Amino acid sequence: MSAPRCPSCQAELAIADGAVGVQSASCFHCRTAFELETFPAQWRRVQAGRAGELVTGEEAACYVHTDRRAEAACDGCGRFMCALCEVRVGEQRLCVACLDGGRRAGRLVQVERSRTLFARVAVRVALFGLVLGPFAPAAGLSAIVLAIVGLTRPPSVTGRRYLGSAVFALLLGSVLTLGWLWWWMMMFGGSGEVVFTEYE
Amino acid sequence: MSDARSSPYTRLPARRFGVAQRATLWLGSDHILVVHETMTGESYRRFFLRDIRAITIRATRRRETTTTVLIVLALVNLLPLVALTSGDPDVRVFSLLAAGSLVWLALLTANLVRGPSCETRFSTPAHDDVVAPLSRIRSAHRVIAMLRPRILAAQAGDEPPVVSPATGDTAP
Repeated sequence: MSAPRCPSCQAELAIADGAVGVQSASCFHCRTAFELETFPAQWRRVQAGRAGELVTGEEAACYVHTDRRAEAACDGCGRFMCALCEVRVGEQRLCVACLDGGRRAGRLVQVERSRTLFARVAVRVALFGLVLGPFAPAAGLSAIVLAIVGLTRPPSVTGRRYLGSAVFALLLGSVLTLGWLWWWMMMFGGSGEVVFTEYE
Repeated sequence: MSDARSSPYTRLPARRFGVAQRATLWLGSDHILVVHETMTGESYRRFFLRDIRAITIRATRRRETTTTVLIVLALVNLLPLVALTSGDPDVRVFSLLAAGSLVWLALLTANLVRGPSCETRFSTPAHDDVVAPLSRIRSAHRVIAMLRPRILAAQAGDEPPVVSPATGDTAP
């Protein structure tokens, strides 16, 4: 349990214990004025973590800590866990290995910290392709591939799918690729010879 | 176009724009999600409702600074525009300068309309972080008014300790 801190200098503020609600405050150290709203959690005692009880007799033991009593089975791999190993993620009880694996694989949305949105990358690549000149088809093809990947990957954590971005990237990528192919054919293909013949 | 039909989040009316990035605020079942959108993806920061200890709002001078910068940029476009009107202007140059001026004036208007700027911090046992989308006092007050009942409901079991008026000691 500690007092709230000044948003400017991080010094501890002198407010009455148990105060909950909005108040105008001023830092005693740096004189910064600000609004402060405290909630009941400010005065909640932080509970100490549990280390797990020692195993006795015929009880099942933790997979990792073999001297500790198992308190639950991991929802991911089924291994027994002691109180120290158990991590609650939403409704799930997971061991550290499954938590880490799930986070890396992007299966645990609750602990995900960032996500690449391929549809947005595809739009940037397609727009960049507009100024790439002869390399535009490469950008166009890349944009198409990225847009398709974006459509198959999970959407944003917030639920947004960026379908518009993916469709736009697909269209622009196709225009870039086919446009340049058409120009290439006109210049160096059968039609191109006709054009050069006329000039000669 | 975005599809939010299956979204577990509700978007809150707060956002902040930066150069090639944007920050938005979302409300989940038991937490607040701050989303920083960049050129290639999103990064997330979660504040669980039952962990929020305090919220501070400190007024800043960012609005005034932004206003000054935008006025200078608008003038850089407007002054040659005025000079061009006296002679026989090139239509393309004239249009370019006029469009530039309009963009800066629109941004200037938006900056003034959004109201005074601020820095909002959410304090939890784990961290004390700036919540970028809550960068205007008016929107910060509006959003916090929406969040207050949910935070209090999530912390309903956390009664403040009873303080003895005589000794100042708190009951266990």
